[in-house]
Amino acid sequence: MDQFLLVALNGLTLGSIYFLVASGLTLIFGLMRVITMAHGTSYLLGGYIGYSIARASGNWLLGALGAAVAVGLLGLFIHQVLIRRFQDDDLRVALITLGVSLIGTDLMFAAFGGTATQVPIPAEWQTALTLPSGDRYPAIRLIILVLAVVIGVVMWLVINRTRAGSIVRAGVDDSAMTSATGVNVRVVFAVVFVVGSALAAFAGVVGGSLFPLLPGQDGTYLLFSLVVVIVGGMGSIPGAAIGAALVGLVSQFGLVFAPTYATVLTFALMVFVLAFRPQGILGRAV
Amino acid sequence: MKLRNSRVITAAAIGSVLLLSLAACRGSDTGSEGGGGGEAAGDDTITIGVLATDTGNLAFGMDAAKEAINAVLKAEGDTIGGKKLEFVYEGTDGTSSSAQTKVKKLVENDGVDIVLGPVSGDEGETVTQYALTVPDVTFVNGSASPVSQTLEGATNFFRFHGDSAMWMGGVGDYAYNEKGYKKIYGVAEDYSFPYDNAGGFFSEFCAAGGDLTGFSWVPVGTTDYATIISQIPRDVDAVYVGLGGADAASFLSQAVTNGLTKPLVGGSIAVDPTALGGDANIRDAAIGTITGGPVPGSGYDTPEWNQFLTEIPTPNIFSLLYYNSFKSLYLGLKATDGELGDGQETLRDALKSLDWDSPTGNITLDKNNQGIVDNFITEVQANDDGTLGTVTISEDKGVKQGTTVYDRFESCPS
Repeated sequence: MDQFLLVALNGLTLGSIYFLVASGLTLIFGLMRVITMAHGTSYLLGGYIGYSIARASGNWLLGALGAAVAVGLLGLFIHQVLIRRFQDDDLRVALITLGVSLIGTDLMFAAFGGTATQVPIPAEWQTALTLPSGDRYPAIRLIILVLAVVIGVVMWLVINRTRAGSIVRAGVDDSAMTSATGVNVRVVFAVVFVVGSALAAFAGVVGGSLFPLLPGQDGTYLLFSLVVVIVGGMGSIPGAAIGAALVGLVSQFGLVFAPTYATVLTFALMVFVLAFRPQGILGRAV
Repeated sequence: MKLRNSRVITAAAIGSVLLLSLAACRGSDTGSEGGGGGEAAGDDTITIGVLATDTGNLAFGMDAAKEAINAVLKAEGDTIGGKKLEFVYEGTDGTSSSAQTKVKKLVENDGVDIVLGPVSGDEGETVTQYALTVPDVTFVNGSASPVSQTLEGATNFFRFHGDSAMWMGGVGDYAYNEKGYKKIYGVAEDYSFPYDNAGGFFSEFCAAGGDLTGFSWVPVGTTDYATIISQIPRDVDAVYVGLGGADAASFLSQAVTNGLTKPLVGGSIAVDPTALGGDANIRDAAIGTITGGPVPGSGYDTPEWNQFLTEIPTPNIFSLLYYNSFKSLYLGLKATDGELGDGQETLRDALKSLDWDSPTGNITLDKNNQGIVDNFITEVQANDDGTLGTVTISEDKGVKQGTTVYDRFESCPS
């Protein structure tokens, strides 16, 4: 296949993982405006839990579900016990979740060590599929791409086309007024936080199936998902998808044309977008 | 409510900056063992500051360093000439900046007598530069292996293992003459250690008649190699993989999923036991990979090596090098009966004249305080129990350091 298309496909599949991580953050940070610095911790912890379950049971799906449930519950704890009282105090919430992430980093290092691990995937996923062009491409990357598209579409439909979604949006825009209409905003926010954390954990299992899990990735993925959410526009699912695709494409084409600067280019993208469109590509104007 | 956007972004930005800076400082409270921290060492203690990686693609370095030090202490005891050895451990992320922060903390805040470390190449260059500024502290390298470290003229700096160019000695000839590889494409991380490691290999491979068709230098910590693998020309005979730790594990597993069928030549840490013992399926890519380095494979049988394996049953390159480095320091201290001497000259003279049989052969120092050591060419094979391991192809005794320092190159180094 044309080298260009292959690199583009690599970029999109890498972007799929960024999107899965960032989709949780776009709910918590983008929509609810709760700044969580523990999102990368949810990613890495989810990956480690998924790794442990999948290794013990031999079932990848069980690992992914187990990780989502466990980290979702942890998210519930963080939201209800640690940050709910201070939800309107942005800096305090940022500091509390920062503390959670630092503690989490050391606990995970103690529990899982510094050696890289990878979530075991079913052998039938570890093959190459033949693309319409006749080229072979790793099945796992295509599966992840499809997964990301499905999750993205479902999230968009739920938020924009269902009653539950409109309650969330109303709660974010004016929580007092929404409460007055009889909606328990506290529960709504808790649910969104749990779903966001669970998505990060799920992303950790997916990401940990393609790439290694190791200390330091909590920070890396937090940064990437912040870049994705900010580039795409806060709170916008299609925005996060575009942001993730851009970040994935820039880093892959960067590896081809300027490998030394591949990492820098990703952040240059954010600087560029913020300079011309401070609200992000699909963000609402401030 | 929309007005909150800017405040939210400000808080997120502050949070991110804090996270990054705190993550950089994270190790400072993780590993302080022993009471030497924060106070100048008394007459009855010798404080050793240990630098090792605990974050990033070489995050297992700290565990390896501790395992090595504890093995020596367990066998030899932690008191020399009535002085107790105390340790302050500092974790780094493998970068120059983190090594610089931590080594300064060890020397200037903790007041350590001796620094042991660091793990990674760029860190090593930084620590050597720093050593030049604090002549009263003795530095014993951990496992960092850029050629330049012992050519800087730091008389208080000692390296009891080979540099990364030495490690690939003999592999280039072997690849060309025995394996019959004529054209090779290179993939390596973009920092000092892989430059010298690849330089050592390709200078010999090209001199034998081989050709380097191109090179992808990737950032450390790159996890997605799909695009890099697709860049490898179809007409090469083999691929040189100068990656380490998690990066190497990523490459090997993706070489399998992306259907890369070329044989591999590994840099010295690409097919370390850590990469081979991981959970990812790297079998098809790893088997048959040849490499050179300080760690022998199976078939190496000396009393010292066998004794070492009873102390550290599954060594990796870092636990072996930290063991040899710390044991050298220990023997030096023992020779002076724990006496450091004026400006630590007594200890340094003892270290210079060391001559001992390490688990991997005899170690002495040249005039630059650089080790003259044995080196091994190994090949990855499947063990009888289905795991992957390395087998020793050849052993080179008394390897001495060259003087060529390599930088990034895309074709045969001149």
